[in-house]
Amino acid sequence: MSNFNEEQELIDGCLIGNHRAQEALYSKYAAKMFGICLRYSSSRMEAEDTLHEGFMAVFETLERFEARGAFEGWVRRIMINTALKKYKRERLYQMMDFNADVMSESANENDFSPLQKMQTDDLIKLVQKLAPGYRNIFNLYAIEGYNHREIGEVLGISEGTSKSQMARARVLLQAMLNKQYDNEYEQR
Amino acid sequence: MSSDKEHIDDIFKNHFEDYEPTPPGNVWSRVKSGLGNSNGEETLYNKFDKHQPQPPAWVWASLSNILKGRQRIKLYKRIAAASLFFITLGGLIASQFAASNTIDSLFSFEKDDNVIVKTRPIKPVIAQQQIINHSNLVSHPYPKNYISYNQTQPTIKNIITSNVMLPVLENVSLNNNSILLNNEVPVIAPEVMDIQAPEISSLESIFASATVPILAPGIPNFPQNNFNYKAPRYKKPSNIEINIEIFGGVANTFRNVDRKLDANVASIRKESEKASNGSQWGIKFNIIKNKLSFTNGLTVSQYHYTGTYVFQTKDIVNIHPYFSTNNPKAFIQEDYFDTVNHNKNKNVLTTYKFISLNTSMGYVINASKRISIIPTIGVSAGYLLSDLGPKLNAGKPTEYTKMVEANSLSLNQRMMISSAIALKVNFKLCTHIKLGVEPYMSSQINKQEATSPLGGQKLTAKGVNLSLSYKF
Repeated sequence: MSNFNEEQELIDGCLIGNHRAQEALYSKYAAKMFGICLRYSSSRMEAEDTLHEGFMAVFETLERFEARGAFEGWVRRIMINTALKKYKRERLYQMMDFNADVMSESANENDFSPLQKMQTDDLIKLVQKLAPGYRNIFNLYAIEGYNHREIGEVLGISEGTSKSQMARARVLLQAMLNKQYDNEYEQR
Repeated sequence: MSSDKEHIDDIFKNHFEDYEPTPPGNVWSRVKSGLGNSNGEETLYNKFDKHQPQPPAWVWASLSNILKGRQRIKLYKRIAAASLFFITLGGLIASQFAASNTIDSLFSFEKDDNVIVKTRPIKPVIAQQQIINHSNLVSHPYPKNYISYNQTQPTIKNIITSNVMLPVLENVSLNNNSILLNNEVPVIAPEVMDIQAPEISSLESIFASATVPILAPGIPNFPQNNFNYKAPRYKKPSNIEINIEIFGGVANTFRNVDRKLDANVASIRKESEKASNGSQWGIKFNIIKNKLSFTNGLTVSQYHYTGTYVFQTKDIVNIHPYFSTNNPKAFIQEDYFDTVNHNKNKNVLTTYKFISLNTSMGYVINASKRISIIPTIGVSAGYLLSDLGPKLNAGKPTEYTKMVEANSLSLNQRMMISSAIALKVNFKLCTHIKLGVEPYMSSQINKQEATSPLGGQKLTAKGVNLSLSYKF
């Protein structure tokens, strides 16, 4: 109950433009949201941009938040939408090649830890090596818990495409993990 | 290492669930500087900005479609569409006239029900030309003096700097202390009256760098850029099945009496009664929802009855001829007859025709993909259309005629309420057509002739119907 009151007070403060409330709200959710942004981005810098844009959107649309669900979930959704929006914008105008050989890129990387000792940062790097299309679908399906139909609706692709890209993302991640494991074994 | 693909998901999910890396401090600085423009202080820019209308995306989409002029639209439709377009355009111009002063107002179609995620951080660029033009066109409280100040929007990538002209508001003291402009840029003296060349180039560069087409901005990328747009909701297939059915069949009708018969009556009855064959046909309207079947129908039924009736006849035993001089032929006058009354039996085929309204309810059991079985119960209310049946001739009734009359199947009331049970088996012939076989049994509820020597009598029928139903 106290948490709810604190959160509601923060929201109310943000709505009247109280900078302290805004900063407190940012501090409360920044780390968690940054983790999400990292997963949806190909680099740390891009994740910072996403976090910035996402929080701007949060503050600008805060008055539309209806306390029907958890505030954290609402913020999380904005972050994901912001990340996907950036991805789509880039896809639309840069026509990125989703079939880029991520394996050749990862072959040059020897800074992985073995799976048993892998840290989250390392796994983040693996996910970031995926092509954006695979990365988004993997995040939405495996981490956020969307189903393929929902992913299709969000990304504007067919359910079958979502399934196939999810399968491909798994294969690529598995391959990267295997390769890392082999490298570690050879070093021993 | 497990090759299980689900295991891969779990590995990452477990790591990411509580992953909370600390973002660099400059992110909050950027957010904070951005918030300075939109929250908190009431700036002159904000005052101006609040009044700008936000035309929704569909307006642009509709206008663009109308402009494209689809070939299939007939001339009169085009005229109507063009009228609508110009009316809408007029409204838009009027609204833009009021205060359409930012690039975002031109591209403000990326909205959803909860969240707006702006894609271009080039908000505070004011369409100066519009302001100047509009101020000349329509009288409004803004004087033709404009203040120009430099405004910089802190953004990540696009940092747009432009000279923005704002009207001087009445009763507002412009100084650095009382009015905080965006980014705390000091107000410059109101000297600038014309658009300067750098401003124009700045605007051009903004449009040139816009990531959406200038014409019909919402059309090509609206679904791609709006991630929260609601996906088209396809209509669920209805779970209500509607059928219309025609049917026909045969039935055998017999009569149940309340009392036991004495020997004489039984004998006479046996002679006078025959089981009747009947037929029926009709139409039914059927609705099936959640495996419950509700049926209303109109049935025309016929019961054929062959009964032995008693007629009184007069036999002429003596004839007294009378001859007329005017007529060579003899004719007979009754007064000259000697007659004797007789009772004679006669077999009569009588048809009783009912029209009845039926309602029934059943439960659908899908035996296979094509076969369904529906046990049904129902009631019907029938009305006797044809005559009530032959009556004994008038005359002095004898004990014999009384008994025969009482045992005849002559119906003496027109309303018949019946209940029925049935077991219908449907064979699906194709998507829309089913063939049905429905054996049934019905029993009359209301009694016939309660005052007869036999007490009340009820008609009972057993029959079978064949039906063809069409599923809508």
